[in-house]
Amino acid sequence: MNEGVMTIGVVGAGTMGAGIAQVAILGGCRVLLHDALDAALAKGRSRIAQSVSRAVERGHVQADAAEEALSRLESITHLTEMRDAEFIIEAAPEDLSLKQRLFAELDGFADPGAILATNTSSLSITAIAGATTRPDRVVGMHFFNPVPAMALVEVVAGQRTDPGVVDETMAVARRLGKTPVRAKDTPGFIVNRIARHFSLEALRILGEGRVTYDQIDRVVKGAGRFRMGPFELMDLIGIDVNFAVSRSVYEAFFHDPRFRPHPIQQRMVESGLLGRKTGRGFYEYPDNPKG
Amino acid sequence: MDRNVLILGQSPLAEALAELIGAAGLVVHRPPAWPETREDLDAIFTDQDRREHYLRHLGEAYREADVVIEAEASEWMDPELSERTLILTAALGHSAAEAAADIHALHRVVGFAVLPPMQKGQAVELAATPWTEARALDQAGEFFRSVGLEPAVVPDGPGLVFPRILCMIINEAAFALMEGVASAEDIDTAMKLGTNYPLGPLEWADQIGLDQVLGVLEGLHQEYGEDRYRAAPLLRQLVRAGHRGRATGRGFYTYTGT
Repeated sequence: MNEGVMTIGVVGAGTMGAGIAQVAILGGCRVLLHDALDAALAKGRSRIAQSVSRAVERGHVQADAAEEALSRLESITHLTEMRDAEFIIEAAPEDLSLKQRLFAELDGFADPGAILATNTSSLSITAIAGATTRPDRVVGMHFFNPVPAMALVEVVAGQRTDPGVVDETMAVARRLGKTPVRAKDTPGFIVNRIARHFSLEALRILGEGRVTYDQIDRVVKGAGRFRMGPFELMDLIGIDVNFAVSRSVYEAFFHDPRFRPHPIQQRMVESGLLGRKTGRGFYEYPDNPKG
Repeated sequence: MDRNVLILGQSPLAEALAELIGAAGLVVHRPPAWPETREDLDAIFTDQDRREHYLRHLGEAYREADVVIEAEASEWMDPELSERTLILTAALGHSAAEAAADIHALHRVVGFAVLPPMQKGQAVELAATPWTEARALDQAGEFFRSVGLEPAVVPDGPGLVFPRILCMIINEAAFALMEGVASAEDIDTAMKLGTNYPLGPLEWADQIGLDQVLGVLEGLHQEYGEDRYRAAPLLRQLVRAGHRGRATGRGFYTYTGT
């Protein structure tokens, strides 16, 4: 990969896509940003502009560097305008058939030397790569939300991904200012697999009925120097989101009991107490009255 | 009161407690030659003669102790400990009640759990058994507070609250490592950057002692009879090979010059 200005295509201008585009332009890349919905594309652009100006206000980025970065951001209305991109990162919603359709389309016109990356937290890279005629050039790039603040990227090799493609993707992640780690294409990759137990085991303990959620949170923070307890964290992430990830990892491991979701999660979701975003989850958030 | 503290065990927890308690100005006694492995330990305490010999060897420290702390994920303690002693058992590989059941002064037994690396102000979990007298629980709280830890009372069980959660996380990291999902370094980096863990699970395990982590998982497996608590074979294999973590120079990582 050359050392000049690299052109990166970003498919999807939602929270993740906009965040990825932002770190890419700040990392010196030219970004072609696309979204199937014009309104979403416009919203993504303004979100990036706001976030970059906040970074300037906080002194994280020089004003002229920010202006220069924003000049490297181009909105495109047709996906095919990405044909000269060296690296394409798809950040569409987490829907396997949608991602497969997108990759089949990208496969039709993308440069043969381009790397096609998918930003997913839970889908199989191999299944997405299988929708193309070049599974060796397809790789996973799991960014964390919010992208500008979270340093980690899991670079995931599918069953047929070329090792050289993984190396190049690691280098691109570093260019975006991230700390990449390598992972095999297995359910939940590293973080979403191992971190499951932080909430699942806490839910098991709660479910035994002898200790309250806030006691568990206090002990975990006090004993382990965690910044948040498991129930505070579930409220922050969204209990519905956490439950969906738990279910997906459980299904992907063919019901291995280590990953079994807990009925408490299901009850919380059924009751509409989803966490901070609804004003109440395990805890109450009086400043957010929607609940 | 609480001047003489006898700490049984050579786990990293025992070392960390000895340091903390010594720094608080109390007199710490350590047994002269604590057995190297759990098998040796079991052999000593299941054989009546060897047990008596060992306890005689402990001698004065045992009789003089105001507080006796068993700080291993194993379940042996002298059944003859006196009524005036505060008996603290690490509820890691077993519940406090399981340990207390074998001890004559069972109302003096309080379970506790805290994991290295330790620092002042860290929470220590305390658990009463069905027989624990209120005074013993109070004394345990006062004792830990006097050495700089923050007591929190939780229900009894293997691993209490935090070690139970953390050991499940470590076990999953061990499974992932064993299955080649990622390298040990990448697993630890991912958990620190992706979820803000203060330490990566594998480096944390190396500080706790892999035998101690395995002990908690085995205790949970036995208590619940559920497959979810099955220990990762890699964890078991490392312990079997004597690679118990930082203290032995090798665990998930290799340490030089320690």
